[in-house]
Amino acid sequence: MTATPGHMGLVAVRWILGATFLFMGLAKLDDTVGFLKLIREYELVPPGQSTLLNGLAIVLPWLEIWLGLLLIAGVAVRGSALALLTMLVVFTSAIGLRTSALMETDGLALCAVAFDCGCGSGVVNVCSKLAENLGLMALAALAAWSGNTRLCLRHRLLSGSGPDGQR
Amino acid sequence: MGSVLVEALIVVAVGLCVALGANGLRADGLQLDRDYFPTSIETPTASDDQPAGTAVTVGLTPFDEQPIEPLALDAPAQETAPVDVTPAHAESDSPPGADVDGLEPEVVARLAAKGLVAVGHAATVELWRDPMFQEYEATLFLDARREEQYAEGHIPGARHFDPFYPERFLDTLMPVLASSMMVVVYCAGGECDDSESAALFLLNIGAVQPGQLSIYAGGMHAWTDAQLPVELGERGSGEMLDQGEPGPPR
Repeated sequence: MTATPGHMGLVAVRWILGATFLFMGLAKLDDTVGFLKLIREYELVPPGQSTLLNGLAIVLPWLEIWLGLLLIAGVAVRGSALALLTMLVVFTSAIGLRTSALMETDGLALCAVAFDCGCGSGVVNVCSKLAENLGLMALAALAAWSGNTRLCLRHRLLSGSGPDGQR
Repeated sequence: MGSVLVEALIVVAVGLCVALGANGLRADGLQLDRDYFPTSIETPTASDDQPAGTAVTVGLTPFDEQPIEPLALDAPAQETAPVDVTPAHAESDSPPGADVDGLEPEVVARLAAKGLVAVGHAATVELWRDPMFQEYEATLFLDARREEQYAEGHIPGARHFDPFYPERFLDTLMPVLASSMMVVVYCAGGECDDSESAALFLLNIGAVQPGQLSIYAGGMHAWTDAQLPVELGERGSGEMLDQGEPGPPR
């Protein structure tokens, strides 16, 4: 199978997506308490549900690292990309809700809102963050549905594809 | 599509196991079942003596009214005089809602809702300057910020206590708590609530009594704004922040 620029472009998509989540997960792990405080500020977990809040703070960074590594290695690519896409939809919705609350309380315009969303990149302008997340969602969708098996250790987990995705 | 969904569920399930296992192996991993942000005093003693939300918003109780055993110290008589810091609210002529001794009414109310007492800036400085603190640590100052923040500048003589990893400090702290007459907890000030988490943790394990503990609401913000001495590194390092240098992180 000859590698076309399209194929290599899709490999780059997978690697960029994987590396981005690997970096963001590592950044969160670097300050787990800080991340716990930041996700508490979203007020999505009801008071008293400390196990749920702690669980999110524990699981999310590692899940991002895990999925990022799977994408880079090309293992279970479709499932990993779908999981990341789902996470991105949830994260972006949460950021949208928090932004809406900040706009209301501080009387700010959408693109004037900036806060540390707990995404691993510090304080960010919300418009930039939303645009970034939409871009990442597009990459995740592309990785999930392109079916490109180039440079994958095991593209499909369940169907027994061999090295480099060749069957 | 179905197989993709199953694949996603498998990788997420494995990811969850990896996350929980790796967190358990980390020295600074979080505990799943711990309430890191307690909102009230839970000990029976505390609720009997001082239910959350009751009138505990006044300043500190003078030493001679503390409901605890005094220190068995061989201190000279002139050094045992109590520091009267009570009037912060109780005896103030200020109208309701006005700031008293740097205490914002909203902060005082928030602390009171948790059953905690706020102490103002002047009262805190007075306690810090008191010989009973300087020589005998009868008042224990606790810095509830992160380790690196503490190292980059804290109230001289204050001990570090991170409420997110209390087990690292309790062995050293418990004997000091037992012999201290008062405990003042602070963090950065402003929106920071780590001092409240630290205070509630200590109250809920019974390490201190409610009447013994107060929150310096101004925190390091107020302390450095007042250009008061700031100690660098570990407690008792003797290394002080040069006033010409930028202040410690808040």
